[in-house]
Amino acid sequence: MTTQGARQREAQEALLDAVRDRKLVVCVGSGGVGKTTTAASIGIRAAIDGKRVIVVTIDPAKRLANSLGLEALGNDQRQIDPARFAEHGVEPKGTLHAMMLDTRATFDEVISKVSPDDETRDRVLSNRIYKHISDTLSASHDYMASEKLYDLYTSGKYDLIVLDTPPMKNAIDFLEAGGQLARFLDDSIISWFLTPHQGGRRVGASLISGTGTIVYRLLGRVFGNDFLDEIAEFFLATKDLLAGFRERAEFVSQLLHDKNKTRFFVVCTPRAVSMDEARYFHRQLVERDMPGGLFIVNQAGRYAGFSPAPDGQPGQYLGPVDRDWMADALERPVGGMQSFLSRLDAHFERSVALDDDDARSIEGLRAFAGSSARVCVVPRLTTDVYDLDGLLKIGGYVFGV
Amino acid sequence: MGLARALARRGKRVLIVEIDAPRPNLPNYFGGQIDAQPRKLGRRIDGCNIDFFSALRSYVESVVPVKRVVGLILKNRVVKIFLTATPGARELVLMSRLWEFSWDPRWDHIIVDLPASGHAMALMRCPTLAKRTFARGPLRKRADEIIDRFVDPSVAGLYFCALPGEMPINETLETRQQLVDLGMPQVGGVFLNQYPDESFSEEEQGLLDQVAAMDGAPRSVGAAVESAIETRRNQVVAEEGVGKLLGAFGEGYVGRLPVLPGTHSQVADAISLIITEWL
Repeated sequence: MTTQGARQREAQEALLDAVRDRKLVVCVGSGGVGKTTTAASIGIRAAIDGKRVIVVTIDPAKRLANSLGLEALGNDQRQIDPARFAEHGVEPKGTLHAMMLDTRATFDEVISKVSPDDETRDRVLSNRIYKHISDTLSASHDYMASEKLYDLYTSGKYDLIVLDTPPMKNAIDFLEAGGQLARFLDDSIISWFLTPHQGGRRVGASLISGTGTIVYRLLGRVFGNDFLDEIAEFFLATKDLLAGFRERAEFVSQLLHDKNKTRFFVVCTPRAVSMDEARYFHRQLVERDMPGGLFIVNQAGRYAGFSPAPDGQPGQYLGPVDRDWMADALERPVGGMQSFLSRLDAHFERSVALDDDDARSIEGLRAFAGSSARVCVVPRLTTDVYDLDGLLKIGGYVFGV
Repeated sequence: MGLARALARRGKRVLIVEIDAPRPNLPNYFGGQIDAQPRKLGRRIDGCNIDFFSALRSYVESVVPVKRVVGLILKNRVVKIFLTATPGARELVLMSRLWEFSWDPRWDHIIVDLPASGHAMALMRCPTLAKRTFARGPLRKRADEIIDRFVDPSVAGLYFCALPGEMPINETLETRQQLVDLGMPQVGGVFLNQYPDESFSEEEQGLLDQVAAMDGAPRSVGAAVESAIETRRNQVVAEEGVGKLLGAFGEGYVGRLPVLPGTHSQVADAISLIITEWL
């Protein structure tokens, strides 16, 4: 086996081990790198191996749902029909579910779950600051993904959760999203803001001790007293939910750090921007002592290292023998096809140059990640992935089985 | 970066703004380091990476123009935690900073490199949400000012960058619709990057298909033909996507940029030459 083949095999085994031993696989990476497809193929592999798996995606593409045999994906957990696997000659020992994250529905669900009673829930849901927060957080998906993770994990229904995270430029958002609301609802902040408000109305900033009085008044000037009143009202409405939010945030944070339960798969393509994202995210995981070190490089070029024709002009890939073969095969004179052959050659030259760039990028990633990291390379497929066969094929490259 | 270089080549003074990027892209193209304050990156091109705290300082200074007072607010521990964690605060002050830049006479054009579409929508939506949340006060006033400024198509326009695949094109169309519903800023066009080249006629495509169906082709021939057919297949997907984009954005608002090898800077240069022709 070549060095490259051995490294690929090592990476595939590491990925397979992660899927077999962990309870959570988080796929991270920028948009358009095949992250959702990879997540689906991971789910299929684990189901084949006997796990009860759910793949959580944010990709609304109908194509993915169809490839799993579903009409569409929604916020509910839908099982992939085992008969669908049988049609493709596969008999999973476990089960596969899939769902698409609906952020707005998720946020309201969370409020309902952590509210001690209906009155508190209704007070929070109708608060204007809550609506603002809900709209802002819903837009980014990060917070919601972490909330949904909590629900699915604690349900105990699944042996493995495969989470396809949102495409993100600031990849750390997801890692920290769970704590965002908990920090906002910090005890010291709430009591500081509520001190000037007694019985639901503003009594006076002088109740705050020390320089806090001045700061509070200045805040009123900078952000407006209405804003402070709204915030106080929001805190009054939500103070009973604090424990629930904190518990969820801490649980998710611990889970994401747990090396025995979780593994992050950094998914990328060999393009420069995507590689930058992958390197950045890897650093973030290392800095936070989170379980990373596994990369899947999708859409890698197939023609890297292809040599020009030995009997042709310098840099020419289609030499005289190749050209003659084509002319014979197409029953046309070589002279009449010169223009076509030249363009075919030039096109291929560009393809090889791009694929050589890919190969250099992948080597660069390996050098960057170090000897303990594993990089699995999935070649660019000649056809789109639109059905279970395509997903199984991707799975074959990822896991080598 | 290609657009900035193209505008600079046309004699325009350009500021490129990255938004709270933990590792800004600009140094990859221009070298050196950047921070929250605009600095010169090239001929007629300045750049910066605005972060939450610098934008917040700028906003607070605009409301309370006394430095010591500003320091008192921003150094307070509770306020710091509160403002960092308040959902929507980050977006609103970042938009406020962009609003300030839009009045700065040092530049003819300000190009903002927005984050991925979900985060970008959170930014764009924020002034409208703030307007809905606050009936009056400084935040409401700033939200109104931002909306009034950026709703004007002679001031602001939003252009998309996408790859010509099914998913990124669908995402572009969805985000465009959300922006149209929001009413701000005006949606401009879309740049499709890595658009697959096509240089084969239909007859030649037929020849390629014939060769692909044959056994015993020399390795080079097989690979070259396979590669050309793959490009054609990608182009069919891309053309379908362009059809959808043209339907939404209109003729003349979908720019196709080819697949270009090379470093960040080389690719940006090549793109800038193409865009210069369009300007």
